[in-house]
Amino acid sequence: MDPGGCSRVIGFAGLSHLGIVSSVAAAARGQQVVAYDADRILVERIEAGRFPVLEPGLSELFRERRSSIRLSSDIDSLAECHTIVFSLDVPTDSGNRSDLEPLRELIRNVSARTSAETAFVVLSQVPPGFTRALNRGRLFYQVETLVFGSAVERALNPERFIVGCDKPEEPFPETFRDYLNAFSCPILKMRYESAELAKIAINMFLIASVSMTNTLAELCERIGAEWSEVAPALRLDRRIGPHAYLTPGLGISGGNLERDIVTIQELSRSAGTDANVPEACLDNSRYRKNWVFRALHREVLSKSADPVVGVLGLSYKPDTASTKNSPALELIQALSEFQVKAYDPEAAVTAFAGARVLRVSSALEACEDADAVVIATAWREFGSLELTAVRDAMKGRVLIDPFKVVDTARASLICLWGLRNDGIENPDSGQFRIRRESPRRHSRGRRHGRPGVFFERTESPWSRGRAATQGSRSAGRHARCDFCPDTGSRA
Amino acid sequence: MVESVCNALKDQPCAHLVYVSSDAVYSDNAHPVRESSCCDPTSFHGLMHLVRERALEAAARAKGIPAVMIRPTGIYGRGDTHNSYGPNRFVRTALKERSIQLFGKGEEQRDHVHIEDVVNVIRLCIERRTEGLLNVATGQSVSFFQVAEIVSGLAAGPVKVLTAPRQSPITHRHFDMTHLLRVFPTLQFKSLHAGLAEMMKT
Repeated sequence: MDPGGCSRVIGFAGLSHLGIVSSVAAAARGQQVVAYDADRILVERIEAGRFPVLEPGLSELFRERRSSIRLSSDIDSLAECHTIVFSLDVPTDSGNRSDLEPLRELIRNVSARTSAETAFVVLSQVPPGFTRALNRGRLFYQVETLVFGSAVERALNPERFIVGCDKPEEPFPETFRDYLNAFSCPILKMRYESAELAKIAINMFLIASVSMTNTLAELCERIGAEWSEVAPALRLDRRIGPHAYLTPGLGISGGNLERDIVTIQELSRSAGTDANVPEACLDNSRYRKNWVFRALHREVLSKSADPVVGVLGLSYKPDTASTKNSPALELIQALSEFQVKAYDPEAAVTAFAGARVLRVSSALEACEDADAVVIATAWREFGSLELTAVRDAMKGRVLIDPFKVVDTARASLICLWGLRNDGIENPDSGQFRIRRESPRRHSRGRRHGRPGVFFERTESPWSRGRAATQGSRSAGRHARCDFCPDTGSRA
Repeated sequence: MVESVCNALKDQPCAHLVYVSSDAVYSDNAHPVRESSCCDPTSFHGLMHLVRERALEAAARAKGIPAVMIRPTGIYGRGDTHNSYGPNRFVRTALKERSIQLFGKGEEQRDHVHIEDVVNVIRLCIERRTEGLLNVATGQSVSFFQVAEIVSGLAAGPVKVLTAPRQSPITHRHFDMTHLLRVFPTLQFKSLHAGLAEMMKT
């Protein structure tokens, strides 16, 4: 079928993660789709089914709906669409600030080749005020809720659509309405600014849940409580809910949540409203990201001469190749004085200044001769590792598993030391009777002597450590305090 | 004193400036204490250190001298002439008077760092020309009661641990030592037990 001949043709401009997933999901919901990106090589790769992003189910769905998707690197191909969705992911810099210029340029270029009758929908991650400033008729903002690793499922079955409009009381253009209705979910119409803020508000509530979970999980460790016993009580509370983010972790990463914190901070400063809570969440995240490093320091770095550390997983979470603000990368940077063997099923190891990082091709290879192994990302394949092989490959015995990937009982049975962030004992508090020995180097002949085993709950995240970031942190937190210094140190 | 040093730096810049300040520069409410914690000293001692830090920082910056400000927590160790509340006094009174007097029941938790560990950090700073700001603490806070118990246990004979009615609210101080450990990742600290045992031998 010629997409141009159908009133339900919808265009997607910008084929980054958001655009690819959204366009394929639209096709899966019966839409005729034109998917455009100026990058010809990217378009050719997608046409061949080679995606630059990793999403479970994406390739299969694309193959299934291939006949409904017309891929193009010719901007004029969008001229035949009645509705065009701008689906370019907005990149962020190292300070988690958005670079909106590529999106603005895309909108300008498409505007120049389409009529004023074409409905425009901004799906990209934009701050409040962006959409209205475009000053265009038939313009909408739609909240995206893409989650790396489960983007296809969420795009196919959205909980609701949130759409920002210039005049919410007016009906949607026909093509856009048909597109929204194809997903059979509630549609919330509101002002542009409300929708733009709603997107950020969703993330801020997630951040608050993550931060409070981490705060309370750390406290559990110190007072003899067990977070896994507390969490179900919270989930049964209607005000919190069964799907709340109540799993302790290593802070906030991925980039989108951090971007929204920065946006809220900047908006609050501009509007003169209180922004201490978002700042505290960011602070807590930095503290949490350092949990692995502190545990590693305590058990290995301060005790072994020139230790080797195996790092399993680099992406910020499983089922994605994204390493944006990944705890693993921050850990590796903190280990710059040590030899690191890193493995990830999908994410690439980029250059680390000064770090002695060796990229290896399997998890077991990363364990070879390692004094300690850190499971930094909860990839499923790490859960099925043969722990006896891991133990035999390692030189030391410390296995740090913050996400509870491996079988604790099995690990302790074969004499691997288990450190993870939700354990039942805190070796440092002195408040609980614990069974603990110092980790020591075992000769291969002594490996089967049984060492003490302990499990430890998370403490904290990671300050960026260096002068510039620490300074800006300080300035943001105590803006009125003349005594707060630039705290960075570099050796 | 610091004014003279600043003036001297103008005339004769040096290769590296190390100033040993104090954790007394932080607000009593700082928790956990990090290098980014708010500085709001409640004592003249803390205020003095903060003013010195600022003056020295400015003087060093003006001459392009790399500078590091070191903020140790309570230091203890052999030969310390100070007699402030904590390990030094506890060891002294345990040896001489066979008793240790606590405020209240000694519930307050503090971080105690051994002098050799502080010296080691200073040495590393000099060797690497470290710049910026560093807290020096172990990251492990214990109560004064626990310190008294360790000292009592290490003493050759019986030592009484005496309590007294509390005069002021209980306060604690804990440190997040991530920054120091990232700057010097091979750093090791002497355990409180080992440090106190050394002191008890003298």
